[in-house]
Amino acid sequence: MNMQITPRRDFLYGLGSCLGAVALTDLMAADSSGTGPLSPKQPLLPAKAKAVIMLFMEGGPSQVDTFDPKPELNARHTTESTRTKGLATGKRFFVGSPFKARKVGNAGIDMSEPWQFLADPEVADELCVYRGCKAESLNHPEALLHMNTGSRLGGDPGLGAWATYGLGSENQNLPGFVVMTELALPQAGPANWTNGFLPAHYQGTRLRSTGSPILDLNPPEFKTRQHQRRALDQLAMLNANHAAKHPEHRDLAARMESYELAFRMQTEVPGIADIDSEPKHIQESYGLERKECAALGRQCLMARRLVEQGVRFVQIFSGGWDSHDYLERGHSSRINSVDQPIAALIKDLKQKGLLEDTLVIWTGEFGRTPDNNYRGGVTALGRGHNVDAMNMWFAGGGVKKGTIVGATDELGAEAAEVVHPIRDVHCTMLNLLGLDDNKLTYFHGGRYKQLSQFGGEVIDELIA
Amino acid sequence: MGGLPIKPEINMEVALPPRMIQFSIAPAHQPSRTPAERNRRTIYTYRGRGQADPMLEILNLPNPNESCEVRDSAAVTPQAFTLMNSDVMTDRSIAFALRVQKECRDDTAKQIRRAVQLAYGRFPAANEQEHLESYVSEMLVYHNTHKPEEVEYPKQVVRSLVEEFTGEPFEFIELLNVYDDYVPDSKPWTVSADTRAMADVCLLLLNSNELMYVY
Repeated sequence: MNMQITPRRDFLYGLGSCLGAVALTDLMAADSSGTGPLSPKQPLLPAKAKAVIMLFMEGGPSQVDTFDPKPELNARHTTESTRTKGLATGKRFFVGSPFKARKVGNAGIDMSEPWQFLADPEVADELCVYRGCKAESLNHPEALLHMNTGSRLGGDPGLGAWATYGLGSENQNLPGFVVMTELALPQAGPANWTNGFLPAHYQGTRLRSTGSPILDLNPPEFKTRQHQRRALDQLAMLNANHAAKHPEHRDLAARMESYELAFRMQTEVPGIADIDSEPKHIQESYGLERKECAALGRQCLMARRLVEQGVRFVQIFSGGWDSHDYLERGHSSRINSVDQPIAALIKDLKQKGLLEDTLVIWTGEFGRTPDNNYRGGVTALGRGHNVDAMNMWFAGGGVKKGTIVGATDELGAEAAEVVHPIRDVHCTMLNLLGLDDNKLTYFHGGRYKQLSQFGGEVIDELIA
Repeated sequence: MGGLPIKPEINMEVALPPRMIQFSIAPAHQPSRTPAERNRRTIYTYRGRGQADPMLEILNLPNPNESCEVRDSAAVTPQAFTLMNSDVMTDRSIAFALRVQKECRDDTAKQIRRAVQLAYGRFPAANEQEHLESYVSEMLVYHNTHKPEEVEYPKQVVRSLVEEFTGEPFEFIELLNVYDDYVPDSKPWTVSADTRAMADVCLLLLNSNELMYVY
């Protein structure tokens, strides 16, 4: 019988909300047709993207020093600013960009000069730069949580958790939602990729580039694989005795299967993590031989391998973009570390035919101000946090190629055209994956919750 | 009952890597110094918002920021990894084995019976007893030929992160003072092959559905 026993309380709750209940029923039906919660599910809408690779620049990359140059701001360099928005206090002065900018590729996307590899027309013409997003929180942890979970408070599911909840994953021997960090964990830590109130199946799994790729993937060294096989067989005996007494509980079998899956993953995961098996020229293209980009290069290459194997959502965090004081050094060094790996990733995805259904997102948690304040009498050439303007870009996965969408004002201080809050970016991402934010809901805390919190709009201008 | 909050041992790969917090990076997680202090129920543990105990996370630890009316009981693969392979579980299974060995000296059959009683609140069925006895003797042969290497606790950790002023990665050393006079739990290399074999049984009991699910 294909029936799930619903606890009485869940049933009564379910009567309360019709819209969400319909969505839940859909998801439950999808569940029972497959074999488990991560089985691939049909999207609710026509999908343009199957997978997402999100490149998160933690700290808040500066829009005017990356993809949104402002000559007017440069002209006002070091002159007094009367702006009052933001965290900064006291007297302020404008800070022109230390970088020259140029238009690159056939599409003429604006890029600052430190971007060398991304400026390759083959890559640049794939980008869809978006300048209209407004963030809401000026502090890093809350802003990170907002961009990554849709809520500033922490505790809501990460983007990849929602995506795998809605779509499952194509590969049952690998986690559906994988997270990598270039060095330190970002602010707010694992709350950025938590399953939140969704079941634990949808939690982001952090893949480590050194040591064991997944926590406790293997037993302690004195226990061999044969030892583990024997232990699992013995465990199956104990569980079979127990299951015979409780035939009505389906989760018992599911739990036993999770142990067998774990056993299979022990051989599958190291295979995926073994990027030395990639051709030499591919490894070089990601900059693995350059010290400054080796870490992110390995992770970008890993991201392509994961998506190729059917992993639904990959997120990579690069830290250190919070240039309050030494913008020129800070941003040029950061761009230098990520430029080659990211450009290689896009080219590689394209060559493998994966780019058209893989959505690549490059973003931070907020943008930066066009000015800085005098602190301790020092004229430091840096920028503060800015929630009113930022830039991000997308590639592949059904977005418009070689396009700039939206605009900021003449100083890059505030979004002025095609202005949308973060939740609309989230709705757009779900839409590209074939998911409807209003239908992708989960009952928790007395109501049906969704990624956008209370609904949002799809940004049509971004979609091809 | 009662007492000061404690810090348990958690996975070292989670306890040690640098983690950004506002304006700085968080200190490494260091457990309480003695087994009596640290091996306590989770209700006594400190909970950092930025880094939960990964063992609790995979068991659907509720978020500390909001009320939680129900905990999801999903069985996921990372649970299998942690409950079968982690150092914490290895140590717990050894402590469990040492207890039943102390209570039922030199009688493997009685030790198994006691272990099942402690885990399940019932005595083993005849087929369970029989299977587990032969499993222990098989594991004893195994452990007589597979000696564990000693693993030392680190006294310091090298941390790397990106420096904000320069955008360059840098490293520094953080001392882990608690390990200067740390009292470890019994470890695989400090106990006999007998105990390691019995610990294999205990580990299975701790992993079994009957312990995990209460109906």
